[in-house]
Amino acid sequence: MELSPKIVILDYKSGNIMSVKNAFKKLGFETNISKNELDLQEATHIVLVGVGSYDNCMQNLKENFSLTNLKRIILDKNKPFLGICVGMQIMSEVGYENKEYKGLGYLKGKVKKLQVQKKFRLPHVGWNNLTNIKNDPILQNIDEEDNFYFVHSYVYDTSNSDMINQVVAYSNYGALFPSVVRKNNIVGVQFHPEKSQRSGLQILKNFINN
Amino acid sequence: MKKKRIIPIVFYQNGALVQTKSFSQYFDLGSPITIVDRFNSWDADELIYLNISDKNLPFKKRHDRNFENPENFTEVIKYVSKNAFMPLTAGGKITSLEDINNLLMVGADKIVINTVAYKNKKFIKEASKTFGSQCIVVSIDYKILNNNKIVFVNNGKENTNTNLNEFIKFAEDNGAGEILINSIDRDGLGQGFDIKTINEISKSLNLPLIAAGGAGSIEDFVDTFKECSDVDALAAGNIFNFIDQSVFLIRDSLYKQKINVRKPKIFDE
Repeated sequence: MELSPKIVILDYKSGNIMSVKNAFKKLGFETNISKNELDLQEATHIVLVGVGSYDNCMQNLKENFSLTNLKRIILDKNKPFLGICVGMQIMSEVGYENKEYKGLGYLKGKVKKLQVQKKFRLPHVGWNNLTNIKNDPILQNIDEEDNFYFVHSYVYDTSNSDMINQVVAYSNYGALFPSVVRKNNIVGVQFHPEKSQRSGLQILKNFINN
Repeated sequence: MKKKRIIPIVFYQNGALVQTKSFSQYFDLGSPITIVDRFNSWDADELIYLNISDKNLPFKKRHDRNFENPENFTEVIKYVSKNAFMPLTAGGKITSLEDINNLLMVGADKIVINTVAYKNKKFIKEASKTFGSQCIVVSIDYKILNNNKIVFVNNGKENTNTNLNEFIKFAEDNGAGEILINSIDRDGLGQGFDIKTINEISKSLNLPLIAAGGAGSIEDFVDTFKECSDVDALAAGNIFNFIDQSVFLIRDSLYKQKINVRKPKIFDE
């Protein structure tokens, strides 16, 4: 018999934690919202959600976790780790929202404002599809006809080739930007799978099952 | 490519879901919670849930479902968010940052503010700074009087003598994330959207525009999206409550007419 996954959602001040929990529940997975390091060590999967600004999320995360221990648990133990929206962004080395702010550094790259012509209004709010999709377990049964819900103004800067190697799918909003990234056990999605109906639930399912 | 959105708006009043007509007549539509399952399975792009409760009216308890009666709007949003795997925008009667925080904490993704944005000129700025622009939707109700588009607040009852375009500019300059305009003249009449105003506003606005008021048929959505290429989303109340599978049918028509919407699917899981 397969053991049920132990999913931990990192507990810090972020509005969408319950939505993510509810989405996993819909898929039949219980989740534990926790800031306890023992829970993190025992977890099979860890999820980092995030809404608001880069600096704010980092500050809140720091108030609730030891970043050194977090990094050790996630990188050394090679646990599947999913960052959602700003949760994906703060896995970068540095962000430039409001002010320059150091990120978790799990992924190579910087997070900068999406550079688009004025007619593409920011924030990029709404449903958009993926493009240039690479073969990756997180995107199983997902194609260019699937749409996801985005709410953001900032994106991973792709002027750096280390960053480009981590991208598994892009989206297009006046410019191409990375919407799904992966480095080993670390996966990030710029959209909100918990708000993206069937397509979003598929992503969460892939994260747990693959 | 980003998709055009189709958004049902539902109104909560004193414990029940209601239909509105010209901002003044209300008809009871039943449980404030079950409706969401329907919009979820019809694959709506988003749901706007507005509180228009009136303390002078009695509270309506429902006995038609195996559910506790939520005691207030925040409780409703809490229940709704558990089953809505789509963006949930809540609002109505917001007067403070605390009100916003309460709704976000129970699972709302975005907040609609209306009267407070006009009465307290610092509010949009404070709210967008605290919670991020992306979660502040400034809703503006307007009437056309002698060819002028005039902003009304307080559930459409109070004339501000403020021009719609000016107020939208003010909201945009202060950090609103999206603008929702609603034509009071057309509310609940089902005679079509205010295409002229939507076109004019959407061409000059640098934020996503959601337009509401007047949808009566599937064709109204097709015509308005065709004629207003810059509008981001069309929202409506009544049509979604009375035509079975309306969200799906509207999306299907739009998709066939090559309007850039998500591919129609029934969410059956």
